[in-house]
Amino acid sequence: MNQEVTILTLTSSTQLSLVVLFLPLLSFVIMNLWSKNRKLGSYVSSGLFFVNFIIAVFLFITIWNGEPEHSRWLWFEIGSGIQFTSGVWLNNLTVLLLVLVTLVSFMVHLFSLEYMKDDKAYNRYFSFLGLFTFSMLGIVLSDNLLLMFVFWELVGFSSYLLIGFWFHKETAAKASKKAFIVNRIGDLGFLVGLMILWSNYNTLDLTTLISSAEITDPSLTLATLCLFGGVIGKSAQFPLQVWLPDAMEGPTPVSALIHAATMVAAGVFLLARITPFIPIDALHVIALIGAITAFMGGVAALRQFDIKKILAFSTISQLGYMVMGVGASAYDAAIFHLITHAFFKACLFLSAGAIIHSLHKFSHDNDANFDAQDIRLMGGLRRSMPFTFWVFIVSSMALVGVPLFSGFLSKEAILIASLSMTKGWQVIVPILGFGSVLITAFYVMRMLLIIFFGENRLSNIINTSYPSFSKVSLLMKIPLTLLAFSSLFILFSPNPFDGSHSWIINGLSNQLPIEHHSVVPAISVMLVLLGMGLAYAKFKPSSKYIQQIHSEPDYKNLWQSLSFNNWHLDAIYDAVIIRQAIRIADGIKMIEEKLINRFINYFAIFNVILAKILGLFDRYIVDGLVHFSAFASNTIGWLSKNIQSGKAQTHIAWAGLGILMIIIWLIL
Amino acid sequence: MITLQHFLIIGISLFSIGLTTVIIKKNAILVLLGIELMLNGANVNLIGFSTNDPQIQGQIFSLFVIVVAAAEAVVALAIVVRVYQYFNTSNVDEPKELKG
Repeated sequence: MNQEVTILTLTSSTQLSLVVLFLPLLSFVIMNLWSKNRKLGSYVSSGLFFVNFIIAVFLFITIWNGEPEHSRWLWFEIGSGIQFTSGVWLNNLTVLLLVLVTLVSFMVHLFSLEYMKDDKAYNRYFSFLGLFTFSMLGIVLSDNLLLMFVFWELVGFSSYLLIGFWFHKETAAKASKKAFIVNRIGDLGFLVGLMILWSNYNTLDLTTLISSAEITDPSLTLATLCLFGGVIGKSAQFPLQVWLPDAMEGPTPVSALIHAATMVAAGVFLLARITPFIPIDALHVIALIGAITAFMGGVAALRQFDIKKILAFSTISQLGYMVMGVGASAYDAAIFHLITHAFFKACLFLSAGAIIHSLHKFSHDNDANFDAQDIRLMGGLRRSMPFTFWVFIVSSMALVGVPLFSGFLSKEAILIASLSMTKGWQVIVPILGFGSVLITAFYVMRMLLIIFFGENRLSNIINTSYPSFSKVSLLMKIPLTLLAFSSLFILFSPNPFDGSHSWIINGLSNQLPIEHHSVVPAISVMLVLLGMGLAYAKFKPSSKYIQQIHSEPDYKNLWQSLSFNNWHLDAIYDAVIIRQAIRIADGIKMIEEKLINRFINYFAIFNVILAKILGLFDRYIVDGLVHFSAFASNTIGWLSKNIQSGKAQTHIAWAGLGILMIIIWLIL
Repeated sequence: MITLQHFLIIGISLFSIGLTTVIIKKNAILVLLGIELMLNGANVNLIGFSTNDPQIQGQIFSLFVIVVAAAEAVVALAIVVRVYQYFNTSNVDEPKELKG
């Protein structure tokens, strides 16, 4: 039953990949030890990440389209012969993600140097970033599911630390707990999936599973769906997407790194890793969940007023696209979208961070107290922050999927793949996919119009002259420029209208390239134009909506209420799960107090009584015996001592008595 | 007619009175007196039993006893004098050198 574990020795590339893995951990350690000199420590850590990025690029050049390299060694052994291995598996997918994670991580470090400059816990921030990147790279490099699960949990934990970074804010503390617990629900699925796989195949090694798993095995459907449960948690899919909007309580660069580019992508990455052995039934479920998530996320983004919440819901929506892509058997397209999305969404978050930073500074300098993330207070930023405006425009166009931008290429690839699902109920998947394109265009246009166009509305709220915002510093400009550039088509495909021949898709898929459709791009471009047009009609600077934007929004309309409250998911979970859980907990508490505590109390009292009885027994019986024997020997001693009084007459008397007794004895 | 019983009763009485005197009396002289009584009690016994003996060995032996008793009385009185000189008392309770 137990198959022999083959040990694969380290090669130079896998050794190098281990260096990439442990450099962020080194940064974590350094930042924790180096608490004296803030400036130097953070620059050293950013330098480490730059080195890391360079090594990752080198690895990418070595491995991409070459032989995959795999190193494996014995991890631990349970009982006799049940061996677990750990290892590093470098193939095209790994090195692609390696470059992505290290690059975005480095960009976020650069940005944070400026963004977090005035924060008290500056060192803690950078050390957590290092820990997070370490865990994420661990997921990417792991060659088996168990090791991946370990890093998966570490990612969840470091995400918890970073969301709750400003833990003195109650909302942030709550959000971090929520993210952690919701993720835990998904991770339970992951764990169960691991158990099923182990009991069926006796291995969790990915390469072995891929080669030995029988795709028709019904338990495999169950196992992969359980693993997908982990993905639902980590990648914020329906029905566990509720944690992601709340996670926006963390610092904005963290949102860019974790909740847009890397951590939430871990789920999609896991799906891509296991996709060779996901049965077709499971794939259909995955595609459906993805499509529903894409649609729900898009709808929820329509009515938000918090700039980071809009971006968070759009992230959910885009993650839905990726999962849908995997479900439509096009994991290459999904990973392509993951890459492009990571760049443009990181760029969007960082530029939103730049805006928030400026507004926050403004409110600080002018002693004005307002929410720096509320888009109702922005408007007209096109003139005061031109650089941010252009960067934001470029990345949002990529998000919408306008031709010439990267998002267009990857989104078209997924949509084309989704067209393969047309049988029966499956047709809902492409319909939701295309519907989300329209919605995405609408809410992005709304966000752009409200933030950057029209007049600045801040002066309506506080009595100042026209606000002038601080310039974006160079340290912030470098990552923004690089990421915005990465949102253009040119990095990914020579043909701006055809993503199916992109080098990423060619490198990832071993099947024939997806057939190029010209209908799909045409439809989606029309949908994009329609959505943007509708949004412009409603939100143009002279419109009634913008004029009345400060008045309390009216959400009597069912649709608007659904959107604003994220489909009331929080309220539903609160009523269905949380309150029931609290009720059960209360019941258990009552049982504990009334029954168990009472029993324990009585038991304790009984014990005390028993102890008293034992004490009495000890004192009077045991001690009494000892005392009695002492008393007896004392008395005997006293008696026999008195015989020898030293008086001659007594001696004589005793001698006479003795003789008398001898005589009596002789006579008798 | 004086029978053996009369001799024995007188003898045991003398011996017992002598022993009681030895044990009870505090004065050393009286203790010596008691010893004499005990010796004479024994003598009465010897004489009593020798009435049935034609060779009268008992009566001869009692003469020896009287002689030895006289010698013993001399020695004992000398000891009493020495004790009196040493302890400044003739009370037999006072010297407790033998006490364990």
